[in-house]
Amino acid sequence: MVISVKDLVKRYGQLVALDHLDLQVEKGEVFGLLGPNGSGKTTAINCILSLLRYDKGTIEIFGKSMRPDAYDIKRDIGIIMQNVAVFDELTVYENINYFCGLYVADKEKRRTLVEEAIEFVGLGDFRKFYPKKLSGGLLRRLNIACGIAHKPKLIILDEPTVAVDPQSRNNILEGILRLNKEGATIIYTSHYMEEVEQICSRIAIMDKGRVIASGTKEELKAMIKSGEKINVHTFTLGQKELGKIRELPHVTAVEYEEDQLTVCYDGGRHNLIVLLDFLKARDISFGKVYAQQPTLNDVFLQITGKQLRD
Amino acid sequence: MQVFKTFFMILKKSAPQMCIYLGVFLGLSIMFTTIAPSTQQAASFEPSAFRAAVINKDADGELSKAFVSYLEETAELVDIGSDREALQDAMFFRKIDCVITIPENFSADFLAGKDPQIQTSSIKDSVGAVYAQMQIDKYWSTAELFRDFGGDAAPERIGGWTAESLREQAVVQLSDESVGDPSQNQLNYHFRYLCYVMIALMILGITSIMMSFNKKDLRMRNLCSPLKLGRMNLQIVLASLLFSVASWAILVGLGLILYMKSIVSAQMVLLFCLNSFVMMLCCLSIGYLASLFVKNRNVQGAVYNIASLGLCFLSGVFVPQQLLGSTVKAVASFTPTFWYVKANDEISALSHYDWDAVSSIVGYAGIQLAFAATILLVALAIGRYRRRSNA
Repeated sequence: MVISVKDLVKRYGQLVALDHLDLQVEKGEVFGLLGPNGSGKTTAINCILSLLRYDKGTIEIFGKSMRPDAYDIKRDIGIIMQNVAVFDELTVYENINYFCGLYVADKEKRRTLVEEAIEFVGLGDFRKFYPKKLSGGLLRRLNIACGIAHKPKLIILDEPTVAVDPQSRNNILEGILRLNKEGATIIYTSHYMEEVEQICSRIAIMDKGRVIASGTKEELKAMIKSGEKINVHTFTLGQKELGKIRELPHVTAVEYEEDQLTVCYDGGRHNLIVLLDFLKARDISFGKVYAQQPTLNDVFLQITGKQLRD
Repeated sequence: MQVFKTFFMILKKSAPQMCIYLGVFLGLSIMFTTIAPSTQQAASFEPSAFRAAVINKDADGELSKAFVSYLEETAELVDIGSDREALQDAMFFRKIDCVITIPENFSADFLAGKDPQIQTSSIKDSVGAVYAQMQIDKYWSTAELFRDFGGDAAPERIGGWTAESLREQAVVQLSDESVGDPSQNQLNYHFRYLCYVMIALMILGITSIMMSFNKKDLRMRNLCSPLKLGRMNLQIVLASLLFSVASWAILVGLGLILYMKSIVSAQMVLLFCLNSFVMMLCCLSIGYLASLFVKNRNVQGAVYNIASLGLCFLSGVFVPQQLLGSTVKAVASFTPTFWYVKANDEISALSHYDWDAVSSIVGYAGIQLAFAATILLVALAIGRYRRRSNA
């Protein structure tokens, strides 16, 4: 176990930011913390890193109790903050060298590590640039390089892709997966469900300071009743046909509005083929057809009754 | 020593601004020391002669004759005649400061106890004319004394006694201790203005660095590292101290090179250095306190300008303390710069260096140290309070 958080409570006056939070992160995982803004993700990370004092609970990292003075634990952690945390007065190289130097005293070793980090994030052409001369995406890459240069065993990324263009976002996500392949355990917080789905091997969904569901994305989706959703563009459907569609296997709901038929299922296989066969058999012409798998937003919606981005 | 090294890398970015300050300071220092009145001038008094034309309409009067003789001794009398236009021209072209007219029967009227008036015409706002009027008034008030209390003395005797009495000169010695050897004045000026540039430099330097280190996310990232918080703070303190001492050494060194000829004794230089070193510690504390409130460059500019100029104007860096009002002095006594300037002025007036002479200077340095410690403690308390409320 890399991280074990038990019964963590953090209050800001009357506001309960973390409400008896439990988290376990295994070695080698890419663990996603998903939740809307204000759900307690950053507070949880700050408590885990001992940057915030908490009211109750225990936090263990690498099997040892985490405290502000647990410097031996900190040595193996890399942190990438939500906001870019670099010195404006230092160049790309100097910034990475500074943060790496907080962990690695040996100059020669540090030089190699800094070069590797620059290579890793693709900032080779910008090593002498000052942060103010970098674009938003490059700045985020620098932020990541500063957090990973010392090759930590545990990397915590707190919403590293906020306000980043799609291309840079993909670069960052690919980089995270590469770090994981190289052996690092990753904790990734985000309110973008697509990102979490794309890279995380296990996900905890947070709301109001609590983990409301956790597991792999398949496990999470299996928790909810709604399954596949099929949309068909068709023109001539009467109440009789709609009634027949409702009787098809695994169908839970049918809607027909503005020539758009939407059929929801609670499971089953080959639902699309069955539906299209049904339409062909009755000579009902149809146009565009597409199927939607349930998303983590559906999971969140079903559990909390609200959208992830509310 | 990552934090220590980074401190100076960030400082390098503020170097151009600091060099401007240094240049401005040197310019100011040289300008003020050049135009400053020498203490020789301030310590001595020499009456200046005025130029006048005398029209004596009482040529037979003995007292009038004696008065004209006295004027010949104390003033430069110019013979222009009695033509009104010629006299006006002479005054217009500044050949004379005034025209003194002795009316007819002046001596007789004076001796009879009447109140005859010497008439004067002068150039407006002429210092010489004012001085002439003073001489006239002085002469006739003295003569009046001898007339009233000299029995029935003859007019010639009254004139003689009056002239003799006025020839007596008192030796003037200024008791103001701040006026000392003129050669020491330049160093005094240099060390006085040094306080202004030190405050500005320290606030500029320390806030520039702390602004970066105190950025919330950067600070959090530093706190996540295995570098102990105490060690990190120690590196910042050491770097700040090194920066301050280096700045102080440069400023003092420049002063000593520029005014090498003014150095009278090693003890005096040592006292100047000691006083400015203590002030440097004060500036460091002020810089650290300011860094807690400075979040961006605009605020930084306002803070270092207001603090440096405000403290210096209030406490007598730019205006001598002797010219400050008692209320201003009372308020200024709550600033370290006031005690710095006070000690500086006393050092420049020292002629010997025993304990009695330097004890008050040491006392003023002690007050500055107390200020430095208090400001630092306040800054530490605020920093601690903020850290706790953020945790």
